[in-house]
Amino acid sequence: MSLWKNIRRHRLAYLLILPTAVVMATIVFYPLIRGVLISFTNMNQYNMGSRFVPASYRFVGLNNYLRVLASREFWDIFIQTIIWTVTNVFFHFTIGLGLALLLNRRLKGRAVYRTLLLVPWAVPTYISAFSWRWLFNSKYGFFNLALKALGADPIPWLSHEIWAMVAVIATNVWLGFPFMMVVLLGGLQSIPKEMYEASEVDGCGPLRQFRSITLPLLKPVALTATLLGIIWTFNMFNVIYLVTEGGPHHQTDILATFAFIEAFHQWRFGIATTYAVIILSILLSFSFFYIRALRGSEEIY
Amino acid sequence: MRRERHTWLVHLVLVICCLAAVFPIIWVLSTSFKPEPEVFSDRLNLLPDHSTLENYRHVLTMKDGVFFIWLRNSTIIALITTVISLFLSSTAAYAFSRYRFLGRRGGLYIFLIAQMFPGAILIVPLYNLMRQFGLLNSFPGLILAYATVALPFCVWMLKGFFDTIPKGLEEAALVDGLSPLGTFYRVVLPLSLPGLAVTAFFSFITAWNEFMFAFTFMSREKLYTLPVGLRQFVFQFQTDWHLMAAAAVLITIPVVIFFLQAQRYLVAGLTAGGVKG
Amino acid sequence: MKQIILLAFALALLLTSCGGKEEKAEGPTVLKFWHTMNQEETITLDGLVETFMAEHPEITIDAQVVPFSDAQNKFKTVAQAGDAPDVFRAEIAWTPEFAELGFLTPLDTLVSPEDQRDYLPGALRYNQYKGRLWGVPQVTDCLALLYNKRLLQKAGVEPPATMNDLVLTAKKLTNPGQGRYGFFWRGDSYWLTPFIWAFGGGLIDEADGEIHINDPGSVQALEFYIALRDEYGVVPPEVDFANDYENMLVGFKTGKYAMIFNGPWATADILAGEQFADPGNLGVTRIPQGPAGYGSPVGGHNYVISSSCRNVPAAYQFINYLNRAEHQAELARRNNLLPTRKSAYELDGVADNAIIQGYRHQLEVANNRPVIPEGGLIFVDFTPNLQAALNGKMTAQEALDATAKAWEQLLER
Repeated sequence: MSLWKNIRRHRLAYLLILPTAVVMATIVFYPLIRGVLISFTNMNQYNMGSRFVPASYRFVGLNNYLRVLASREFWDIFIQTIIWTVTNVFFHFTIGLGLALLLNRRLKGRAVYRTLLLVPWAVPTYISAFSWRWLFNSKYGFFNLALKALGADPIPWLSHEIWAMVAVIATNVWLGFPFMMVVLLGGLQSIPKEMYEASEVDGCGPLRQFRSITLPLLKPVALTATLLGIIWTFNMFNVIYLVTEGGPHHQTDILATFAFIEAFHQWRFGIATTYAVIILSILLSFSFFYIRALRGSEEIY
Repeated sequence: MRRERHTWLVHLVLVICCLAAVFPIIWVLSTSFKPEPEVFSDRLNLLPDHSTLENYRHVLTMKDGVFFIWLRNSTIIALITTVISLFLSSTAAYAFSRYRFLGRRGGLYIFLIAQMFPGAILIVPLYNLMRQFGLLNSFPGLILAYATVALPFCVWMLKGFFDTIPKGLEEAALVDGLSPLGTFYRVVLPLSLPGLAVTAFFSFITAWNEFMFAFTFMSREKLYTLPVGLRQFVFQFQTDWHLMAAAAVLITIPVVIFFLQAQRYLVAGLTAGGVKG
Repeated sequence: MKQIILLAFALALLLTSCGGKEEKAEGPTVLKFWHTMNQEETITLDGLVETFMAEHPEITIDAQVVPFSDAQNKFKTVAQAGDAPDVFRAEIAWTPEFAELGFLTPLDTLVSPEDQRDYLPGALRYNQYKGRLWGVPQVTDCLALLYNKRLLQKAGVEPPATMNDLVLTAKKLTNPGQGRYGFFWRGDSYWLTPFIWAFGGGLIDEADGEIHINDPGSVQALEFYIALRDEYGVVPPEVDFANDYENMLVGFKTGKYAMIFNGPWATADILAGEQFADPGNLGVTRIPQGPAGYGSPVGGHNYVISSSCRNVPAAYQFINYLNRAEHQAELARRNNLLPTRKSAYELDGVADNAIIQGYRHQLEVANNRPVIPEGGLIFVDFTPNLQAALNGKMTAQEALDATAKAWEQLLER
């Protein structure tokens, strides 16, 4: 079908998308494309130009990329990013799904449970992050006081290479599970009750119901939530920065924290955007394969 | 019955999880009632030695009650963001879900890409862009930025929710004489209330707790949102945690209220009516 | 269409403001003033702003608090578009950077020679960059040795005068079984700098850009630092890089740590602790000398006028008013801050304030950090390497070599 005919046929669709597309184009894509272009320059605060001096940055081709990819820390940080992302999303999903299943039932006090479980998401992040930082205090924090009470040795949580990663992951799992829980709950609630009732009449037990009704009907929502969760967690420099500042000595840094430090501490936009484009490429390739592998789940009925 | 016996177990698990969800914040709550010298201590004192309401009083009355101005700003911005986000994302998600148009797959990918790039690093070009459009120090500018940030997630999520609604319903409605938009409005939307509730809550909380854009685009104190205003308690070498904790509790209350309203829609029962067949 | 309207508006504005242009502008001048002071200091400041406006009814000051941690970026973001506030309180490390970026108005011609002489040279240094004066110092600070007088008396020791004395004195005050330690150190590179200078090392030489962080003196300093824990056992064995500032203060205020390094910003907090309910118990003295002499980093804040300012004379009038000796003394009295004017130290409330005088004593032998645009960033690269050394992942030499390499990259601009 020719291009014009196709557009005319679906003109309602295009119309529906138009306002969103316009908004996104200006606020998201203009900076994004600029960002990609900047990654091929040596732009920093001294040459980016301002009201008072003209711009003087130069095109440097792939220099930034070579510099970043060849740096000793890059691969360590990359592995740390993968560990960070996979562990977080795994726990977010399992805890979120478990709680969503429990809260899907008719239960007394359901609203109270749902609201309390929402608290990690509702409190401003930097305050929660600080609470966790204090909880992991090696001298006065709750966890070490508890360990002492049980007769165990205190753990130098935020100063130890491995434990620091455990600590930031724990913090982020705590921060992120309510979101997964709410989304999956929404998905579960979208499944019509009649399906369960009909299957009960047919003699299905709860496990069979879960496998044949719940899982398949939850799939689109669950897969989307997981994909988005992966993308967000990969970029979540905020929590790490607030709890450990990437320390001790870069052991909890992820690619996104490097991009952030380059951008905000040094205003080295050339390098910061390079990190950002690398992040974008990794996530884009991943999403491509992810969606392809799970394409079968788009149509349910 | 089997169901009943398991109920107490379910309650137990939920109570434990609630405790885990809430206990890190207990420190914040307890700190909000402590006078400053007690904030950091070598003992785990959850109950303050000298509890006081002074912190709350200070936050609520400082600078002639500017807290309420910030509260008003945050509320307006978050609510309008939610409405706009709902409108834009539901229409776009419907199109993506129902129509196989040219550029559909690409369009979905583009929404995804928007999330992948850590956009915060480009805050300076964004500032200049906003300045060019005269959107600095204005609510519309911030609302626009928040709606944009929330859109990709909302579109993808709602598309997922719409995908679970059988097309048969709309076909039936079309046969009955409803226009495509009419079926969207009267058939699909009511069935997607859970999805819409999730989207609404997500948009609200994105706008409510956001700091970076609000801080960069607003330069006048009377235009600050709550997160920006309350950042004032962070200083060079220390933070006034006793005040910050009280502020955090105050900021969280409206969110909890909003959620209590939104979660009422997270109910099944708005069912697929007449798909017999 | 929009452009035409804007143009017409601008033209109209221009025409109306053209009449009678002298030094004083028509109508009230509004000066935007952003500062990063904490709640307590702001109260004092607001009082000064009020009295200034009363004395100068033609000038209105629009004062705003900006959170410190984000102020540098905010200023640069608005300044590059020409929207910077007229007057800003810039940390000393930001001043050369803002000057280099062209965001400040130089004040050479505005600051009188008497004023220049009255400012403490260490504090004034941070306003001098590339031969011009870019601001005036508002408040200054340094790290000093704080000690619990009672604890030292009980152990029969005097505050240490040299680094060797530090070890001996601290040992007498250490009792691991009771959780008591004579000293406390942090995994933050700013707290290491006194040792660096005391042992003959250095940071960066502004004049020639030479990096001295991995000189033998600096390495010796770091090795001594590590030895305080590993060999002499006078600092707590457990480290907590994320929380050690708060832990240091809690321990000091509860009498667990007898001596620490800290600055005047912490005085109010310390005096609220149980051990220092009587302020007389807090001793403030010079950080002990090392083989090469004294070491302590000078910090502080400056008042600067941005290049977006349209009424520089009024802005400077305002700054000069805030910086009068008696007003600096007021901030000192009320908020325990160190004035930057020599004359302020003679005034009541400052001259008789033992704590402030103790810091003044340290200031006399304190060191300026390099006055370069990257001055604030050197610690961002330094601290992770220090942490690696303290965790035993690198030797002192390796850690400082890595820091030197990072600084080379930083300075290449």
